[in-house]
Amino acid sequence: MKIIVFISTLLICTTLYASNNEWEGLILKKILHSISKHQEIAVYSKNKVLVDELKDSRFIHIVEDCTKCDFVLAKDEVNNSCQKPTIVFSYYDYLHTPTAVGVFFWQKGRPTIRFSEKRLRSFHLHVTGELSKFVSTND
Amino acid sequence: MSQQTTNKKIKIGFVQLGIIIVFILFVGSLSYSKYNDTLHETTKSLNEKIIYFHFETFKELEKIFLNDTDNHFLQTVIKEKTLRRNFEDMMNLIRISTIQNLFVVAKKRDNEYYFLLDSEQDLKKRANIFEPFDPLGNGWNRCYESKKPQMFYHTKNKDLWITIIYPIVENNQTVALIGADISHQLDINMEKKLQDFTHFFFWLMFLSIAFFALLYLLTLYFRRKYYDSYRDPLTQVYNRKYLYDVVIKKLSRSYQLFMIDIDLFKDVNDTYGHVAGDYILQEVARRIESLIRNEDSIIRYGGEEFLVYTTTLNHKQSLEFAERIRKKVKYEPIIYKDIVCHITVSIGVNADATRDKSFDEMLIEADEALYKAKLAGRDCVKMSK
Repeated sequence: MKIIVFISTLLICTTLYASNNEWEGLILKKILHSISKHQEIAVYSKNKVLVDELKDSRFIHIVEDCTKCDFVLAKDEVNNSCQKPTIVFSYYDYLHTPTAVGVFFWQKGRPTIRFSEKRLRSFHLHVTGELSKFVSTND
Repeated sequence: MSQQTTNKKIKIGFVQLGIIIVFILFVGSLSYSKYNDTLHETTKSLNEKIIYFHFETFKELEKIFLNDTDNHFLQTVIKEKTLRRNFEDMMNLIRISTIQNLFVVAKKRDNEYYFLLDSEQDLKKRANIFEPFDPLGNGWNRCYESKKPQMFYHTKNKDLWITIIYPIVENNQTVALIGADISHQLDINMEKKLQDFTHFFFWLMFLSIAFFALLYLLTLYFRRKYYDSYRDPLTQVYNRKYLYDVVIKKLSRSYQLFMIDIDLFKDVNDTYGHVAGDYILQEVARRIESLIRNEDSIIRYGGEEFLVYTTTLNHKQSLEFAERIRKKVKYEPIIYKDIVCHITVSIGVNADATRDKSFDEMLIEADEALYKAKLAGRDCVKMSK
């Protein structure tokens, strides 16, 4: 009985975790495709969860070397040494990271996306498609 | 009281069981539907009251915001950090447990929303001033334009939620929106209760049906046992115990007794053996049984003696009936394997039996008539008087 309960709990948790990650992965892929100039995108991230979310994509490749990437995904710690366009995951990091071209975070249970027009321009990037409405001129 | 009665009773039992199950299902479904409706109605009415209560609270909150900022809400809140903190503390105080998020947002000229106030005290979850707010759905813009409170249901993290948006209107213009995400706990609880009741209901239905089915099978089993105890195992007609336990207790005011004896049965047994004798007994019983009605009874009274009990025949009819039995046995020989047996019976009839006299007395009269038939050379019918 205990084994059944344990397995059921594990299954439920895995399902919930997978479904949340699935959402985040989809949004992230959409963000990267919206701002990338190329179809093939090289991404650098130290965060294993983010890497897992993206690894099923055909066009997004995870690279080990920060200098060889098109975008950096910085979730836990932000490293500016690469000087590559960065996507961050908190509004605080967005405000305080000069290379942060965009941010994606959950606020009050709602997904929030912002792009900085000024910083995008500095990397010669621009947002295409339906996410262009999240480009802000104020930041 | 005939042999066919058992089968009839079993059939009636099936119908009764069916009626009971249909009745249980009907009453159960009715009460389930009633419970479901009541629960939904109560929840709906409670929800309406809760939403009304929130609207009233936000109305008061709007009044305080406008009074304390001297009708310059937006400018004052942006400028004065202390006042902002006071407002947020106040919002935190009125944030009851069902309100997950309570905040105030405003709109920039470029139609982007930003947070102005947030009741959240946890720094990790808190939205700071000017932090962007991406509204989901058109409710927020609708509220801004119409200056009327809005409410919509949505799912968040797989749960049901209500978002209430209340406009802060200053000089007939919406300057900000109070937003509240209310956990739809009531509906969740209701759904859970309904689910619990559904499980309980289906178990109840299942157990009730199982109980009645078991009861029915047990009844059937004991009834079978009961009837088997009154049955002669060889001929499957009633036995002598049945005569004294059942028939004698339900005697009609006037009745008829037919004592039937197979002629020279001992010779048959001696000539063809006991197996053939048993077969002949079975066949004679079957032939007599084919002539009687449902309300009559045939009893194996002794070795080769049968007693037929009827209730509605007069003297003449009794004689005719006894003759029919005699002829039925006689004119069609009984064939056992290759042996053709010409069997005859002698019948003694008491056509005037009455309840006023003892049954044994009536039986003796039938037996005496049978004795007379034997004396008269067998294969004949004799009346008692």
